[in-house]
Amino acid sequence: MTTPTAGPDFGWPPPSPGAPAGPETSLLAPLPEPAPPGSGPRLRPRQVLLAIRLGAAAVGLWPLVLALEGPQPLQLAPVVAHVAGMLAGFGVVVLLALMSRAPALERGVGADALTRWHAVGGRLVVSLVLVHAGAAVLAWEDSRQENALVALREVLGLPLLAATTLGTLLLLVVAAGSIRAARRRLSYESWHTLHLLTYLAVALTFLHQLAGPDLTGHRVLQVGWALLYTCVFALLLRHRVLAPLRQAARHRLRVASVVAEGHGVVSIEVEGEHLDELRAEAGQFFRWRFLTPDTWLTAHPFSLSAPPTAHRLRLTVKALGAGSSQLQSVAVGTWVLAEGPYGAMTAARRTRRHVLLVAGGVGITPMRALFETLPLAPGQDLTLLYRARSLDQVLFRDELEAIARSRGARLHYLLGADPNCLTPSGLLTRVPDLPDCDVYLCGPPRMADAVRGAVLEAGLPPERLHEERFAF
Amino acid sequence: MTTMHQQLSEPRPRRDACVSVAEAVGAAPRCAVRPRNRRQDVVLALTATALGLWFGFGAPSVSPVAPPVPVASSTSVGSEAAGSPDSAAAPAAPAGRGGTSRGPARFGQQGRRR
Repeated sequence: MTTPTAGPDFGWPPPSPGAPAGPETSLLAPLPEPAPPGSGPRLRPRQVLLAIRLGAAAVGLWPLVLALEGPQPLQLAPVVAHVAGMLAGFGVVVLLALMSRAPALERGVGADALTRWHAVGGRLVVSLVLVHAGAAVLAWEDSRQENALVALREVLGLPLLAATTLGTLLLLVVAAGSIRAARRRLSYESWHTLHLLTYLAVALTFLHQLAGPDLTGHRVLQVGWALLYTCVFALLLRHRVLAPLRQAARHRLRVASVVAEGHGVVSIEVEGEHLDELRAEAGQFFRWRFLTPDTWLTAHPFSLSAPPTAHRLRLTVKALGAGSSQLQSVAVGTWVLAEGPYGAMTAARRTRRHVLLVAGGVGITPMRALFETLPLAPGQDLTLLYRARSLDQVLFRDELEAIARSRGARLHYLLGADPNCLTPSGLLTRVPDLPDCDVYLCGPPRMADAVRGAVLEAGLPPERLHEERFAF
Repeated sequence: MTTMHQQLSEPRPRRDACVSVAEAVGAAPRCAVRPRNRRQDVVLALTATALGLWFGFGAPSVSPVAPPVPVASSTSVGSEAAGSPDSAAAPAAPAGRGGTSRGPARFGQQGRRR
């Protein structure tokens, strides 16, 4: 048990005793006609998954319907080729839509869930493409009674197949770069650049899809398929290109200060104009692009480590790779492009009176913002469990303790190497009403896995575990 | 293992203004979307629709990549195919964008269309 070391006031930064209320603290005063938090449409994960499954069922069944209607007896290779091809084409457009950064998806589903779905779907689509190609060659071989090599040569000589083959090869290169073993060797920047080839691959295979036997002769389907692709590309252009450019012009973000937090961690304060229009919330993140010669090419996702204000945003960066290391010494005044806000781990997810926040390492950044801003009425509990190796590795210690004192919240530091602190019994000891809480979780993958298993085993319903995992 | 725990003996009520960040910063209402941005969005949507229609209506109506009908099978439906086994086994003639054949396609039959 420690004695609180900071005063009862809270905010960002914790104001010194007797200090006059500055422009930032005045934001905490009641404002006229506030907008509802996180307003805007949100698509729930179940809705999105249902739409994907229904679409996949329709697309996958269509070739079977055509095959059954035809005069020929059903043959395995052609049917497999057609079904796999249609599903692959649908899967590609779904993968693009998941990564479109559309706010309804980002706020409703969450960036980490979308990324996980994208990763799983990517493996599935690549498998379907390979099955489609293999089955198509096999079907050709059977129909012409030729050997596989001749059939392959003839298939590759078909109209549009050269571009399609090139697109498929690019897709395979991207897939190879996403394999875990390869990904460990690639920097985030290289992996990101490699991933951009996907757009070229999709463009090269698009006409092949429209000219496929399952769509030709069905003009409505061809138009619908083409519209699906062009609309998803418009969505990508809108949210991944135009929106950041608009935000750059409107908000004119620049680095205001860089504060060392210790152990390779810095907090970067970014100032700008009209930041209230972003409607960012604690728990969310932006993709930041710092316009220096070394860092302008890549955007990195970092959470807000303090509640946003009308003029300032704060992110906290730990040097984990080349890009984040370069940000340790970013110069004050550097122009910044911020794409976002993204993420669904906000107060809007809360359903219960009591809240448990669990953070590990630099995962404290979104939790620190939530710890300050989650609504807390009398009779409600707000608890933060912060896992760190040692006390000197605890980030924002003064701020956290000030917030805990001022809000009547509980703060536990879980220090050292005790493996039992994140077990169900260990968690229940500190938070007896854990099954009746909303749990927000952010931390390194192994710790997050341990906590996820422990809270579910302790009786927490899965829908009340809110987490975002960041890994590329 | 060290556990540090701190809690006020009497929880203080939170500040009323700290309901959410969006409220705290006076988030802009949805109607604050700038007219210029809205115009850009409309232009983008119309362009995407026009491109989709162009691609869709310009797509070939006969598949250039349909698998040929197996020789053995084609002879059994020779009366329908109205063609020799050689022509049945040949791949479809590539139909350029906006091809002229308008009949409904059948699975496995596209290769016989001329």
